[in-house]
Amino acid sequence: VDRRTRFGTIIAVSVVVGCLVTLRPPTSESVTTPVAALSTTERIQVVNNGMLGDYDPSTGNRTVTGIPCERAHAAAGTVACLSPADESINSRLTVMGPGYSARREIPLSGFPDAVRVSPSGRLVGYTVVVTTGLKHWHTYLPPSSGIVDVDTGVTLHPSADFTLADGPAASALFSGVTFADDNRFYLSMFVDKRRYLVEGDIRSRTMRRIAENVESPALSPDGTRLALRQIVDPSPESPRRLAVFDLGTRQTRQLPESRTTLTQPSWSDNHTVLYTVQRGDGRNDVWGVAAEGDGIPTELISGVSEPTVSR
Amino acid sequence: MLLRFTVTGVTGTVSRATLRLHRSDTGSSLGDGAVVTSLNNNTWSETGTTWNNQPAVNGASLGSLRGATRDSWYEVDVTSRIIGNGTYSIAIDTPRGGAVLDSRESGADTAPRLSVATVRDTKTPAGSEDPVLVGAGDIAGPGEGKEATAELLDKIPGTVFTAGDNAYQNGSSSDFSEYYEPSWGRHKARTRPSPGNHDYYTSGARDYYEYFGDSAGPAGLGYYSYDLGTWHIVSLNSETDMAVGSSQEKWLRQDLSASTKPCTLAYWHKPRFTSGAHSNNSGTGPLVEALYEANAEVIVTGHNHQYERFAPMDPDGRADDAKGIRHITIGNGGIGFYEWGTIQPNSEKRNNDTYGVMKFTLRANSYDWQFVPEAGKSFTDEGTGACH
Repeated sequence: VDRRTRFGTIIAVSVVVGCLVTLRPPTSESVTTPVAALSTTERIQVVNNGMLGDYDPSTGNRTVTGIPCERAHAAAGTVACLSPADESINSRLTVMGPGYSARREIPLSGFPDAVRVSPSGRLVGYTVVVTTGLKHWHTYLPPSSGIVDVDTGVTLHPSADFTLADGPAASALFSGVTFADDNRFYLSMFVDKRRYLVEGDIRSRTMRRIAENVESPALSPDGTRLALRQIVDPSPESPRRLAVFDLGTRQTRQLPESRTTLTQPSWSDNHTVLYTVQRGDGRNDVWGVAAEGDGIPTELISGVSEPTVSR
Repeated sequence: MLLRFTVTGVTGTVSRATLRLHRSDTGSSLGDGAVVTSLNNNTWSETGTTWNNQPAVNGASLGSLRGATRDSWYEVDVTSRIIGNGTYSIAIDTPRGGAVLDSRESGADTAPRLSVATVRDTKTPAGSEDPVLVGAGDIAGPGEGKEATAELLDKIPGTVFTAGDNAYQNGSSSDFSEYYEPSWGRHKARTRPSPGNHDYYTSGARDYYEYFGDSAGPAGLGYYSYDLGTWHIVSLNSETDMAVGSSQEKWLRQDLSASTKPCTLAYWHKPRFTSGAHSNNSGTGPLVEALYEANAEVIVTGHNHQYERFAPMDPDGRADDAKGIRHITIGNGGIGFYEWGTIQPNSEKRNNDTYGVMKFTLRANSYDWQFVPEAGKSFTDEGTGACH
């Protein structure tokens, strides 16, 4: 199927993305073991078995577009989507505006790994990897990340366009961008067989390490914490544990979820971390758990992945 | 040279059949050119056959003769051909001349011999003499999975197939000796392998062909066929040219048209259809097309480290109850597991957390499939399909 033709056919699907959300207060203070809940009644953008779609928390209704997406995110009316890799292991970043109107299409080489839109909708950070999903036998192959300015099409590459303020890191590999605003961002760095959490500054084109043995960061709505995956031991096959890193105290706290999570987590609100767990038969479910670490994991949306709660 | 054997008295499952040929104390070196081929024609006679009326040599390749010195024996594993009681014809072609092989007329001491070893399978019910084909892909590396699946083979008689990526990381001779030989290697005598991309990480999969020898078909080609009961089994090579008009594709079409068996199963490494992260491999399409046109029943692959079974489909992946081929990926052979990608249409069953082997019971005009899980795991999948 010619993807451009297929893309053209779905423009008629109209789903408003990026509208304001009424945030409910977090779980009641009388509950000692919070059960995570979706704290929004607005539609949540999701990926539904390789297609972009959404989920209505009020009714449970789902819609599925014909847009092929394996990873997706949205903010302020900008929708970003990484298509499933074809058999030559090529993916494509598609950036869309309201009504899924295409604004940018960027061909990429690798399997889709992660994509994030900055809160203003102006920047898109993506990661593709040459190989992924190897749960036990894992030859580490390089990820490739970029930050795209949606207005100009200019792409910055952390590996080429930034310097590390705290020492050189030749041949470092970067993955998993998340944005604080249109200047400050966080991502993972792999260098000398070690993994670091890095903070980047676009204006000065600099980055600096702020933590080790964590990856796949996702910034909380209030900008104070990163939900991420903690690397338990240094082997490539090491299990990842869902955790929260406090940018103020620099402390990492594991969340009570022992399963391997698929891709970057996200936030439902300032108190709930969302993440995807894949079943043995390949179906994905969105789960939530209290960010304070005192709750129990709760399945929130079955059959989908990559939840984006609009705000 | 033409041979015919009548096998009688076999009551269990044939575990190994060995053809022994004696090289006489005359003649020159045989070289690598002598080919042993199954002969579908059983009507030729010892006294009536001449060069001009010789039967066509049109059956499955059984191996080749190499290396014996004068006055010594060659051995060829013909387990794939000798499936039980019956009459079997075999042709020995020595296109480049060479050694003189003793025949019946040479006397009982040096005449060709066929030894048939059987096992009595007490667990399977009476009447279950149907051949069994069992195996997996993506098998042996440093981890524990290879032994978990090898222990399943210890309890399942029949012919063993591999769906490629036999020995990680590079299919080197040390990968085979260190990882494959101590696990699946104990079933090597009944194994008919196929190569994968990791086997080809060693140039030309040289060490794969060296390790498996005649069991892997003609060295370097990686495609060959054999029969099990009423089934024609084709082992193919997704790591070399599969295009329309390629040597492999032309061979496949000839092989399928020469087959007289009512049912056909083919296996190779890279899946035509998959819901795994490695996406569909359209390069295998011409092989799928040829098999579909020949009314084949089942295609078995590996490559993606997971189990997936599709409903019968046409070569474009559309459900096809009348003529479709059932595609099965059995990449759970021991090396590890992959995450899933987009679940494809007609995918009926999937698993990526259980090592196991795929067991086919090849009945006269149907087949049973069964995913046999490693000890301690419960995932399974079984069913029955009819031949077209």
